[in-house]
Amino acid sequence: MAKTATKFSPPLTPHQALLLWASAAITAIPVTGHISVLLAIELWLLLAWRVAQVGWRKPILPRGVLVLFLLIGPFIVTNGMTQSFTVERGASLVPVMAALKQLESRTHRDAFVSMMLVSFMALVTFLFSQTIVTALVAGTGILVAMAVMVSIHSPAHPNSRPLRVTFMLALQALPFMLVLFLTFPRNLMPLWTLPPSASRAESGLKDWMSPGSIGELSLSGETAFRARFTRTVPPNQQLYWRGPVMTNFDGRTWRGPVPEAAAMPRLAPGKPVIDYEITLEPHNSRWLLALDMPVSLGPGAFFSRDHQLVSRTPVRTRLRYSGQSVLFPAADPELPPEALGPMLQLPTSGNPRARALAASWRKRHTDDAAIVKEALAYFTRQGFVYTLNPPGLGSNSVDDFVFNTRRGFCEHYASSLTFLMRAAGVPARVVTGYQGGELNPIDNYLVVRQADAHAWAEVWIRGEGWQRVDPTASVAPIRVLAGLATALPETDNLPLLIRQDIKWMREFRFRLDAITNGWNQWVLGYNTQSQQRILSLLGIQSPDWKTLAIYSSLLVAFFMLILARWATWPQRSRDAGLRAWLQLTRKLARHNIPHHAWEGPLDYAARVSARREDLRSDIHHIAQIYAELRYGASPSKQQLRTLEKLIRKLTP
Amino acid sequence: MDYSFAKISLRLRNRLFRLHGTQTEPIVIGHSRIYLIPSKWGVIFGSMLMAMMLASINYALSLGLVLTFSLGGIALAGTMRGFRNVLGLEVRHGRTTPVFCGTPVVFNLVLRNHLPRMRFSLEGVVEDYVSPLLHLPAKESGELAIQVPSQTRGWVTLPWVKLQTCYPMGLVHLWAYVRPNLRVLVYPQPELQAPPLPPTPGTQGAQTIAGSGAEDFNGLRSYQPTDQPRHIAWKVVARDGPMLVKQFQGVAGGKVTLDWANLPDSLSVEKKISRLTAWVCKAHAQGASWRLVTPEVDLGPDRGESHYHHCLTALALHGKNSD
Repeated sequence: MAKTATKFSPPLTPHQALLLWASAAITAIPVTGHISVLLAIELWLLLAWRVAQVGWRKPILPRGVLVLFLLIGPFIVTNGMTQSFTVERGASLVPVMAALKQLESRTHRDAFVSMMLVSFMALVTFLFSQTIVTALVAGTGILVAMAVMVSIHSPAHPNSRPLRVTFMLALQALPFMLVLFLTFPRNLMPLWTLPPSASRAESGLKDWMSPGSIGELSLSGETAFRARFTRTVPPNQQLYWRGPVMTNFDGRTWRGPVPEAAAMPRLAPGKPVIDYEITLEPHNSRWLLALDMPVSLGPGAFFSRDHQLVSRTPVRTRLRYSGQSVLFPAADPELPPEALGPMLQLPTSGNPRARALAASWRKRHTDDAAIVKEALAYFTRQGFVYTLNPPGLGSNSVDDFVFNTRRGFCEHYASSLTFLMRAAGVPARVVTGYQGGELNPIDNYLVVRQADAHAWAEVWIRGEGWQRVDPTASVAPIRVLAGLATALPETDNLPLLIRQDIKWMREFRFRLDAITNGWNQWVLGYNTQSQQRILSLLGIQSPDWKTLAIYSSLLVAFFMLILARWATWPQRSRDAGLRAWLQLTRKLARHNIPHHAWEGPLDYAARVSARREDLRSDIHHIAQIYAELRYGASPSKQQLRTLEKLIRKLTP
Repeated sequence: MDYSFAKISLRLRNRLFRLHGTQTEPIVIGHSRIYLIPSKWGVIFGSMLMAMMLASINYALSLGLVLTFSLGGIALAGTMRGFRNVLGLEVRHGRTTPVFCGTPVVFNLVLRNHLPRMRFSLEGVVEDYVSPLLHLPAKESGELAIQVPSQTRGWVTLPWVKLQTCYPMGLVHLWAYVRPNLRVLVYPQPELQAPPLPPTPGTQGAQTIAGSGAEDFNGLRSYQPTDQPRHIAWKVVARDGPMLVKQFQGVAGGKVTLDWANLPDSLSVEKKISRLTAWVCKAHAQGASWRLVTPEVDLGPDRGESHYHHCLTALALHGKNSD
């Protein structure tokens, strides 16, 4: 077979075609949920057609039809596009391209291109989601694609062999991957500007609050953030995580002003500082969370006038930052009147009864602190109920809540308390965020879920400053002490994840969360600091990229050497006697007396001694020993040693 | 010195890979003689990895980096496995058969696998020719057939054979050069429209083998490459039968003398050899006994296979130094 056209590539066997399809299908599974529905349908239709093609010998689709399918994809993608082109939208075409390539995979060359497309599809999947499950599924798909390559070059074998070989290759690749992953520099800026990555988060705390907005968050057991404290974890009732602060009320909804940078809050001195690190899930807004009250500022963040920690850019990816806080201090004891004005603002009309109640408190007490105490006592004494499913409120939402229904969730209480305070002439504002959290005993991280979302109020007392007032703590103190699940009756709808009753469920939840958190922190969140931490464990202190490059190349070379040893290993177990004999024949061949394949050792010795008289006795001795070793009844190690020694000493 | 590009690159190759003379057998491929280079697919694969790495850096995809490094690691591990595939392979010479000039010479190499593992996708490459893939089971031998075109008559020695593989994934070419001491004799090209055999002395008047027509049909035998097309039994071929040649009764019992001196002087040496070769073939085909006389040899009279090959050998080596 002459090397004719370079265009010729052998065809794929049905088994290889099926394996190739499996690689594309497996890798397509995790990405299906993240691309638009029409694209997903197109993707799986194409894959199903491929199965029919391979299994039932349906014909290869003509090029024209394939091009048609190829064009449908971009049409779908650009059709509903209101914003600019993002990389996710473009990337969601890759799975369809991979499926189309499957349909025209006939030869070895097609299999190679298909393998590359499957690899890109895995990369695209990671653009959408990087969970452990996604990683495992996509990794399996890639391995199957590699198995097709192995199968192409080692055909006619048990069908499982390419898969086993690929698995071994993957195991051998692990050390290289670890070395490169740990030492690869992580502070490389984005290398070029590509279409921006789209926003990914959907749910979470909003910048506004209205009745029911926080209640619906309690339906979600998703993690909002995780926190790690350097020293002991404060008790649950002190864990108020401060988020968006709202000061504008329109009768139903509280909204905050657009945050502008302001000075750091002046706090009462002398309280201990608590260090912690927060890993915040993306939520698309600019608010950051800090323990009440934050005293430090990370890069890329600023304090707003309402002492809210705000990020300069929206939080679109998982963000890890450290913070320092002082527990529940009083801030800004003295404030000018113009700063207090907005804190007393109320809508011009509405909620008359509440205003009257507040006015009656103002008449009775001149001291602001006493008014606050009166309000809290009112909530406790009048039989308010803390529930997730309160009845609806009308246009006078505060009046309805305070006087009619008296059943509500934390946003009702916070909203009405702030309204009453303002109506009584005490500056107040609504603070939303999270309260409490669940400590995972396995990795000591505090997990705070969306269901822990909370709203409370802050009032300003002259001479003391802003102070936190949480009406929920008066009405349902157990909510603040032990979390939402304990505060609500069991009939209320709680997500499975935060239920306290099932014991093994909690254990399982802790373990799962610890694993996910470890993955987030060490694999996905591996940045320069993590790198420095790991390298300092190995004794390398703050290396620059040159040292890192040297170390990693040394390690890679080391692993290559180990692999090379493995590659040459079985060679050594060859017959030692044969090896020695070959050494002899090579020596003599250099002197023009090569050993012929049909010659026995004794005949060879005779021929050699005929040519070279001086070697007669030596060569005969050697041949004798070798013949005994090879063909004798009981070869011994001693003979082997003698043979090797004699052959080494022989100098023709 | 020939300075054509092909010759220069050949010399460069020989210098680079230390290819001198032939190798003593058994040739065991050792690690110092195995070379590797990424194949075309390997380069494409590498650029794909590069693109994936850049994309992962740009979008801060940790798992993208894991994927890229894992694929790179798999390529490295695969290279080692390919290395193991070639290492320790034993090469010896195999059988050869002489051919006529014009048909490719086939060298057979015997490869022995001493490992308890199978070796995959081995192929031998000489200039343009790539042998079929060979998969050697554990502890077994296999044959690799190398074809070299034959241009002139005489001895053709096996050139350096590039024994290569791209196992396991086709990303890296691994090869070693082997050259067992193997040579094949190429017989001269028989003249295409050779005149009929010279008449046997003593039977001048009777039974001269005229041209067409006056020949007695004697049966069919299988086709040989030197047979003239007009002797082929085309009716058999038309019936989807094998290629058979009509045999004609030769000068039964006659002795033919193929004499160099009797050839016209207008013919060159090569043409004379060509004609004599054609006659030897014809005589052998007819079953006659013949005697070959050249300035160098005088063979016969005899008949049969060995005489046939003897004469052809002599004609092939005419004018060449004895090797």
